[in-house]
Amino acid sequence: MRPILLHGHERAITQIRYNREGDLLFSAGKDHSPSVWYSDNGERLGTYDGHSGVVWCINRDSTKVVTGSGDNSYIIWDCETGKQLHRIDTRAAVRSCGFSYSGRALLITTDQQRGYESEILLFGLDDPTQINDGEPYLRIPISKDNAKITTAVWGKLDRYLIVGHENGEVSQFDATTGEKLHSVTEHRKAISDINMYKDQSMFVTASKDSTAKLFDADDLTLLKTYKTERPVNSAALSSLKDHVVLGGGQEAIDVTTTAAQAGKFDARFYHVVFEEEIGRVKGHFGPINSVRFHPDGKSYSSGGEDGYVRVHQFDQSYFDFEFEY
Amino acid sequence: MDGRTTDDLCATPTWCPSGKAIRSTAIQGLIQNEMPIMDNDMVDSNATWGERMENEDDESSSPKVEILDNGIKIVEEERTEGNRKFLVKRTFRIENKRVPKPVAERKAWKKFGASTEDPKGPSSSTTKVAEDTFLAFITNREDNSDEKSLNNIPKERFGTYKAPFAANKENARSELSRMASSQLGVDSKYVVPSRRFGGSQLGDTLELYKRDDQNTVRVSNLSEDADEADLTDLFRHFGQISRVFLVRDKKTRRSKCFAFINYKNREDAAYAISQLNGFAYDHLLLDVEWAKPPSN
Repeated sequence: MRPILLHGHERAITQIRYNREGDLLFSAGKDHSPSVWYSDNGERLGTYDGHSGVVWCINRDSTKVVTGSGDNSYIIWDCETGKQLHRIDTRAAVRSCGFSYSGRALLITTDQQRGYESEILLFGLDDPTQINDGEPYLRIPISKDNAKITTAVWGKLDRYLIVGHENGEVSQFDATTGEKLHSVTEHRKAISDINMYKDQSMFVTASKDSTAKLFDADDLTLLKTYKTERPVNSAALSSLKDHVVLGGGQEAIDVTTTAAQAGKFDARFYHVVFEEEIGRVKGHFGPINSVRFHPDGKSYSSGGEDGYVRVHQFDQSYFDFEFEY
Repeated sequence: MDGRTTDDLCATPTWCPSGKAIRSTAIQGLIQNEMPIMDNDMVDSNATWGERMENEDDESSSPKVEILDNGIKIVEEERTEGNRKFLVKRTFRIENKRVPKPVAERKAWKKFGASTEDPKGPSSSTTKVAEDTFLAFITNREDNSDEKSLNNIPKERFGTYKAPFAANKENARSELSRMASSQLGVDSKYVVPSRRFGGSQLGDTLELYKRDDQNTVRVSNLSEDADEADLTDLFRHFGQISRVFLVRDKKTRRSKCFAFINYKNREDAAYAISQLNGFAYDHLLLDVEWAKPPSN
């Protein structure tokens, strides 16, 4: 396969996301211009200009895009025109953001910073005053004794949230009451990414402790563990085959202190059930920060510290490949 | 590609904009994509000063577009970076495909932000085609085939399967140890670590290499289409193979029509020669013989 290289960011990619049909690919980077691309031919549709800091996260429903930034704000954009609809300032850097499946609610998490504690903010979008006034219907503070939130996603039927913490804890919160329903600490280091399976019955977590783990989304039972020998920055589940792809590599900060060969920046495919590695794809020359399968499972993209997004269409050999057991 | 093969479930289709996609799967739109398949950056360094001046006159000339019959579109544009002028040749495959209507609608959106000025199709400044890469499968197939080939070895010869040169090895070892002890004892000269204590790991590996060489079979008059996998298939029936080396042209990677097969046992190699020399394989008669040791 010949990957398509998307070079719209001048600095490291922080997050990439497909939209629901998979025709659009959103990318956010440490420069200030989140971008949107046509995923099939790599054509850039546009950039969302307005942030003045690192953009940590990007999410979409089909008409709106939300980005959260280190400039202590998040912005809701019109997906089609790139215009700012709302800009809301927060007390600390916004680390993760996401529209609920129904598009009726918005999830924002903030960092622990300048004396403020890490928080989960939930906005109802049916009531425009909540966004306009920046006043969420639910604010879940994470007290300072607990580790700050690194990533968060919506759970099944928008009823709860799955939250990853800096100390490796994964917890589940009720989206209406804010009550903590379940909590497990299976990882030893920070959770870097969470990806829900297509039917929302399970999710995969990526962690700096060099593993990715599969959990039951209802009660956070640990199902599977995928081991590597480098920090995992991102993991994604395929909707087509029983595959999980892990992207990672040593911390960008350590890269200059070790041999280039030791970087291990390839994307690694594991079998979901057997936890065994199936194959690897090379290409990035920095750690992979975010990786996602196309919703149809026939291609995948990865965004790296090197500032490139690579869009890979799988060869026929990938579809023919059967795991031997 | 329809709305249902998505990462989430739709709780409220009335509100959910993707509900539209679910309902409209029957209604499809047609989109035309320009799929980038190759980038060629060519430095126009041969142009003389005069030519360059001439070229500068028609700077405004729009990119040359050529569309071939097989749906391949070639765009040649000139790009100047500093004093250097590049001729960029980009190849696209034009692809038509049926997609859900909302996708087709989105394909018609106007570009915005930093892409406002970009023409239709992927822009050369942001979209490039990377080097060919592949998903390197990691399987335990190799181990399996080894086991299979073990099972394939005829039963009556199984007794000799173990280290046919064990005796030779033992002799060599004792000789080495004698040498080592004499060196150590008599004039206590410096002894290379590998020679101490009767030759350790290094000595063994050297022996191994030598033995490998002796068990090598040279196959020639091969068909050009035969690859390593074919050879493995063909030769593994006669015993355990440790290496298959098909000689290929350095540049074109095409087979040079001969190959070397290393067996773990010399008997197996001999058996293979006896069975396969003159064997008709892919309309050619194979020449299978002992490999001559490298002349040096």
